[in-house]
Order: sequence, then structure tokens, then C-alpha cells
Amino acid sequence: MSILHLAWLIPLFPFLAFVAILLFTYRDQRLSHRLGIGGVAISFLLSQAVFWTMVLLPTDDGRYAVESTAPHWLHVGQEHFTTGVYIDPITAVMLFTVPLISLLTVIYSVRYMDFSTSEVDSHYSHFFAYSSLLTATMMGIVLSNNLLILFIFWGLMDLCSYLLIQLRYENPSPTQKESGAPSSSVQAGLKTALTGQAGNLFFLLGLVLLYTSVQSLAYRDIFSPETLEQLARTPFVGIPSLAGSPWSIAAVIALLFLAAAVSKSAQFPFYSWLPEVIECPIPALALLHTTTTASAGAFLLIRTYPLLTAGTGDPQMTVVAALGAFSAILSSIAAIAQDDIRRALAFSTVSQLGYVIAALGMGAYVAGLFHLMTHAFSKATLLLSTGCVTKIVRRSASLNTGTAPTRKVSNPNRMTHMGGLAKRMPRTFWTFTIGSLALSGFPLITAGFWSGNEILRRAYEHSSVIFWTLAVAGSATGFYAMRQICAIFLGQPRTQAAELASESTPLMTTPLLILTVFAVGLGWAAIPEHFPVIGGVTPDWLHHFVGSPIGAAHTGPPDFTWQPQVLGLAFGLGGLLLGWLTYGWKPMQTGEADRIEAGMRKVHLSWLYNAAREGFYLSEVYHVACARGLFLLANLGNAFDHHIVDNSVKHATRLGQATSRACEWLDDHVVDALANLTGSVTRQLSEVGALLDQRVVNRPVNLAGPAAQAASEVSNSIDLRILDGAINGVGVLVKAGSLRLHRLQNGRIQHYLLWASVAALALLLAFIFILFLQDYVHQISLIVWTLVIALLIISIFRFRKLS
Amino acid sequence: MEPLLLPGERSSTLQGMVPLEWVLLLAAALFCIGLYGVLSRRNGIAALMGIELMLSAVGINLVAFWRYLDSETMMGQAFVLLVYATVIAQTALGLALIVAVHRTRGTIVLEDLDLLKESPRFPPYGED
Repeated sequence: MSILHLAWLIPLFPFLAFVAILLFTYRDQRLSHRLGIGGVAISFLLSQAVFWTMVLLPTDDGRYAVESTAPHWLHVGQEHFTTGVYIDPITAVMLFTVPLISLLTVIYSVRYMDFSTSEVDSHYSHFFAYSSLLTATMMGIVLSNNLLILFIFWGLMDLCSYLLIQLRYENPSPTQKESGAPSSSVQAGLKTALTGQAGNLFFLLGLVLLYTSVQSLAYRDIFSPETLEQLARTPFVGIPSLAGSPWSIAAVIALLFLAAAVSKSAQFPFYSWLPEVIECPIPALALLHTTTTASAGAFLLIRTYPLLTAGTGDPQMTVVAALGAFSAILSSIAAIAQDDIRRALAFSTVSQLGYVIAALGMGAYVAGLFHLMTHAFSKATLLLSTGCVTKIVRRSASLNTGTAPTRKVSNPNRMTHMGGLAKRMPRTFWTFTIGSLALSGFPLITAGFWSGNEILRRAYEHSSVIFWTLAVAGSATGFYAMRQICAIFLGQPRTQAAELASESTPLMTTPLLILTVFAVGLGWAAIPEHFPVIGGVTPDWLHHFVGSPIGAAHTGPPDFTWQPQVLGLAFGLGGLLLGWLTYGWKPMQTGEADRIEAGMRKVHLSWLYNAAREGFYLSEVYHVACARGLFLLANLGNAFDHHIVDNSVKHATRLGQATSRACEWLDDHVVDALANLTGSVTRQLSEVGALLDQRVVNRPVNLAGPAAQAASEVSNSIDLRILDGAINGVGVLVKAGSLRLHRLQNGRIQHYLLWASVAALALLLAFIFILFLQDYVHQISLIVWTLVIALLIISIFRFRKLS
Repeated sequence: MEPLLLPGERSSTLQGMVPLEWVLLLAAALFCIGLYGVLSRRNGIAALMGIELMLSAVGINLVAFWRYLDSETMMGQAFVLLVYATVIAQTALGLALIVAVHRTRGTIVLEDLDLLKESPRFPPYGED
């Protein structure tokens, strides 16, 4: 029993907070946020304890992992799955990052969501519940010791993201209200959920393939060197081979996991969901972007990194690197063209996670993890600073117009509506600036420099195409970072709302300052030892701690090379400088169009600008491919129904009609004729009979007549008095009964169901009675079914009362 | 109460487990709660939730009998998974129907949905 066993409890407390808030305390906002923050805070403390225990643990060459398992968790036939927590340096690093940022974010959101003011968000408590659950699921993903548990939490995270994104589901914009469309937050939530489900499908396929090949999903088994080698050697039959050599199973699994990670981390084919998510509160955005959903994808790749590198040739590695680099450059260009600050930051997240994934694809495993961390801190700083800005601008906009603060008054998120906030919000200005600089890798002082630079160095060794792509993406990053700083904070205020802005409360800026410290200071944990002048002043702690992935040879800290460092520096600083020259040199004026847009229009490239602004129309492509495709399918189905099913019914009817007409004709012409014939024959016969009757029969009959008359009078009276009475009585009874029964047919489905259950109950009672007669029944089942009966009777009474 | 054991059942794996009857009680209770929900809730979606509960009770029963009587194979689990796939499909269908009803009739209160009542073209018996 060591401190590390506490790791079991880390996801528990936020989860308990979620349950408590959602079920009991959501009406009490103060208690709810206390529970939410408390849950995350306990999780934070436990994580810190585990992290520092791991750090202080004696190491042997940086490769160690602690595992605590619960065997026999899930039995399936003869096999069983175990569950447990798995703590290795990656887990420890994530344990340091995730709860810290989550905690600061939820503390920040108390004021952001206007606690204890009249403008408090109507979903205040639910926000804290969902944030707690999101943190808990991320901790579950980080801590699990097998991919099955990871997958379960992965799916749970989809749910949390969806819930957080559509938090303000009842706020459609005026145009949406007219057309009856759902609000944009609901649409964004749906898009996220659908993208997530697509990713889950790939993940599940990967899991199935892995399990059928290895018979286990625990990291200990699947990442052992023998297993990896076997996976890499076994060819995968089913897809055509690439360049002569067949794909190994390891490669296929790695690509399936890549697809899952890409959908979560919003990379190239799936990035359209993240920029749509703008309607939810900014703290929720900070969680989604930095610690949880978007990071979870990259974390999955880091976790399954041994599969990526299994085998030689590594086609999967090339795919990963290319995909990451492509996403990075595409979305950093898209970020330049955004006016809405939240969309710009979303594209920036996509591009930075692209860096991480590209790093993994090039084998820069430690650098990828490091960049994931530094990006989390810098992006959290940026998003929360943005939250301060937009909140203040929105409030002063409402002061200005004297109306209630709604987001309809003017869009407070548009950068063209800000400007000149540096003097009015100095603390926020500095945190935002530092966050931006850290994001764009401002040299030496910020953490983003050390991680980004490390990735560039690996890219330089790996492939020149990827190096140049990433370098250009880096300079685009610098450009849009500087653009945001200039547009929001510098120059003169361009709207009255910006004019009236003032600094936020310390409760919001203090978490920001703490985040800023990490956005800067984290870099000192991993300064390469060979870096000139300052290398070796502080130990390259991260490389020593994380070392190398499970099952791979340990590589020492990298050697220093000049060219990539200088080129990366030049590109990053060049981007910042260009941004300053474009936007900062001469501040933007009120009503002025974006300078890049104007410039592009001058050279007839405004289509390119528009494409970048719309995220290169990926959403539209999906819309056409999926939504239109579905509509097409639905129309096809409708047409089938209309033309084939309906027509066949119609023709069946016609056939029936024709048959009946034929029958009618037969009746008229054949049956009637026959009947007439019979009739006439009978008449002839009866005439003969009548003659016979008159002559022969009449005489005895005349004698019998009076007797028969008397008898018939008796019989008639019996008929009238007794038989008719009985028949009429039956009729009256049937009529009365049917009136009663008729009341049952009242069209209420629940009544029908009630009577059906009563009937089932009667049958059951009869069955139990028979069993009881045979003295054969467990007494307990009698109790069970008595319970059934009791509840049913209650429900019948309640139902009667309602209707 | 002794747990239900078939002759030849591996009693060792069942020792220390909750007796089967308790699990069945749980399922029965869940079933009754679900039935109560279906019968008494006026909201269509809530009634649908009741149906979900009843189906969950069915799932619990299946798994319980599998675990206690036939845990050598995985038929019970596979069957329950199949049941749940069906449940999900029927929920999707039910929700779609509720949305459609809401669009056409403007309500999802089950008591207002009485189209199954006899058509006014045929006056009720006995009122002529």
C-alpha cells in the first residue's frame, strides 16, 4: 500500500460531485459550485501526491511503471478482463497538467458565470456538474491500464463534451428562431457527437483487431516487445499491399487508432467540429481545448505509440506525421482569417495539436508530450483571458445600450469590435500577450519555444517537407498571435463597448496569472542539455523522467544542431514581426476591413481568404456528402414506398374489384338463370302437385285441419311468451355489455396497456396457483410477484385518478 | 437461502456471490417501476423511459440466469448485447415518432393522442 494506490480515487471525487450536483443540489448554486470545485480540488491534490511520488521514485534509466490491478473485472465466457490503474511517467505528466488546469478553470468560472448576481447563467450548476464529469473521464483515460477501460471513458467523454457544448441549448439566434432550426450550440453539439461516434467506430474496430490478435487489451500484454514484434510481422490480409509489402496488423491497428485520435483531436479530415463550438461558456471551451477532449486524442496516440513504431518500414508513421503537419499548416492559415476570437483560437488548437501528432509521427515522443503540455497551459491562458475580454465587452455593451446583456446586442467576440483594451485591462493584456507568445514559441523565455523547437529539430532530421510545412505553420502561428494581440488590445477602442471596458475581478485574473507562470516556466523543465549558453544550467528533467516509451530502446537527450533552431527561430519571429507590421504598426481604425482581406482582394485572391475563413469548406463537404446523401436515401425510400408499395396495394385492390365484378356477372347471368330455371321447373311441379292436392289430399286434411289449428295456437303462444322473451333478453344483455366494452376503446394507449397487463397478471396468477397446488414453487417468487401485483394495483389507481 | 445450483455446477465460483433470487428481485422491482412509469406518465418521452427500464430488467434477468446457471459459455452476454442493440434501435424509433407527433399534433401528452379511438364515421353503437 503506497501513495500510488491513491490513484484509484482520482477520478472518483469529480464523478461523485457530478452525481451529487445533478441529482440533489442543482437548485443551490453555491453548494453546487462548492461541490464541483471541491471534487476537482481533491482530484488535484491526489494527482499531485501521485505525481511527486513518481518523480521521487528511484528510477533505473528512466523506465518504470507502476500498476495496480483488479483481476476478474469482467468475465466473458472462459476469458476475463482485468482493470486497474497504470502509472508511468506519461501518466504522471498528465496528472500534473490536467487537474491543475481544470481546477483553475472551474475556479475562474465562478465569476465568469456571474455567480450571485442577477445575470447568473441559468445552467450554472449544470456547468459545474459537466465540468467535473469531464475531468473525471479524462483522469479515467489517463489512468486506465487497458484499452477497454480507456475506450469506455473515451465514449463517456463524448457525452460530456456534448453536454457542455449544448449547455445553452435554448438560445437560438433570431433567424434560427424564425426558421425553427435548433440553436447553433445544439448544432455544434450534434456535430461533435457525430464526429466522435465516427471516431469511436474506428477505435472499436482497432480494439477488435487487437484483441483477436493478442487476446488481451492490457498495456502490459500488448506493449511487450514480443507481442509488438509478432504484430509487426503478421501481415494483414484484406487490404491491398502498399508498394509490394503487405501492411502488418500493427500498422492497421495504429491507423485505426489514428482515425479515432484524429476525430477527438479535431485533425484534418475531422477538424470541422471544434471551430463550431463557440456558443458554450469560455471555461468549457478551455476544458475542451486544453485538458480533455482535444487532448485526449493526442494522448491516445502517445499511449499507443509503441504500436505506431512497431515493425520496420513504418508506413503508419509517415501517415501520422503527414496528417499532423497538414492539419497544422491548414488550420494555422485558417486561424489568420477569423474575426471571431473563439474561432481563431479553435483553429489555433487544431494547428498546435497537429504539431503534437506530427511530432509523434516523427518519433519525437517526448517532444510531443511536452508540446501537448505547453500548449495546454498557453491555450488555457489565452482562452481564459479571452473570456475576461468578451465578458467585459459584453457587459459594457449592455451598459452602453441600457438593455439586458444578451449576446444579440453586438457580437462581443469579434476582434474588429475591440481595440485599445491594453490600458483598460492591463492584467488581462499581459496574460494574453504572454499566452500568445508562448503559443507562437517566442524564444528562450516561453515554454512553447522549447517544445516547438524540439519538434522542429526532429522534423529537420526526419524529412525536409515536414520541416518546411511545420516552419511555415509556425510563422503563421506567430502572425495570428500578433494579429490577435494588436486587434484586441492595441490602438484605439473601435466601439463604445470597448471604450467602457474595465479590468475583471481578481477571482478571474488570479487563476490566469497562475496559468501564465506555467506557460512560461514549464519550458525550464526541458531545456536540451546541448543548447548553447543556457543548456545544462537546469537539468533536462523531462527527457530523463519520461525517457522513452514502453518497449522501445532508450534514446538519450538529443544532440544540438544549429540549422533547425535558427530556421525555426527565424520563422517564428518573422511571423510575429509580420503580424506587428501588418496590424500593430498602424493600428486598425473603426470600420476598417481586415487588412489581409483587403490585401487579398486587391490581388484577386479573396476566394482564398473566404475559404480560409470558412475552414476550407470542410463542413460544407460533410454536409453535401452526409446530409445530402441521407436526404437522397430518404427520398429514394419515399419513392419506393410511393411507387412500388403503394402501387402494389392499389393493384391488389383493383384485382379484388375485378374479381368481385366477375362474380357479379356470374351471379347475374349464370346463377340467376339457373335459379329461374329451377323456379319454373318447381312451378310446373307445384301445379301438378296442386292438382293432386285438390283431388286426393284435401279430404283427410280437412279433417285434420281444426286439430292442427288448435295445436298451432298453443305453439304460437309458447313462441311469443317464452322463446321471444329469451331471445330479446339475450339481445338486451349483449347491448348492455357492448356498451361497457365500448368504453374501453377510448384510444388511450396506456389504457390498452393497462388491460393487457391485467390480463397478463391474471394468467400469471393462474400459473402461480397451479404451481402452488403442485407444492413446487419457491416462496420467494411468490413474494416477487406479489410485489408485481401490488405495484400494478397502485399504478391502476393512480392512473384512474389521472384520467 | 441456498443459491440455486444445478447438479454439476461449479459451486466454488458461486460462493460469496449474491443469491440469484436477490438479482431476480432487483429485476422484478425494475420491471415494476418501468411498468408503473409507462402506465402513469403522461409525457411520451417519460413513458419511453419506462419501457427502457422494463427492457433493462429483462437484460438483468438474462445476465443473472446466464451467470448463475450457464457461465461456461457466453451466450447470455451475447444475447443481452443483442437485446440492447434492439433497445437502442427502438428508442431511436420511438423518439423519432415522438418528434413527428409533436410536429404534426403539437403535443406529446399521451392522453391527447387518441387516434386509435373509433372513427367518427361510424357512430358508437347504442347512440342512434
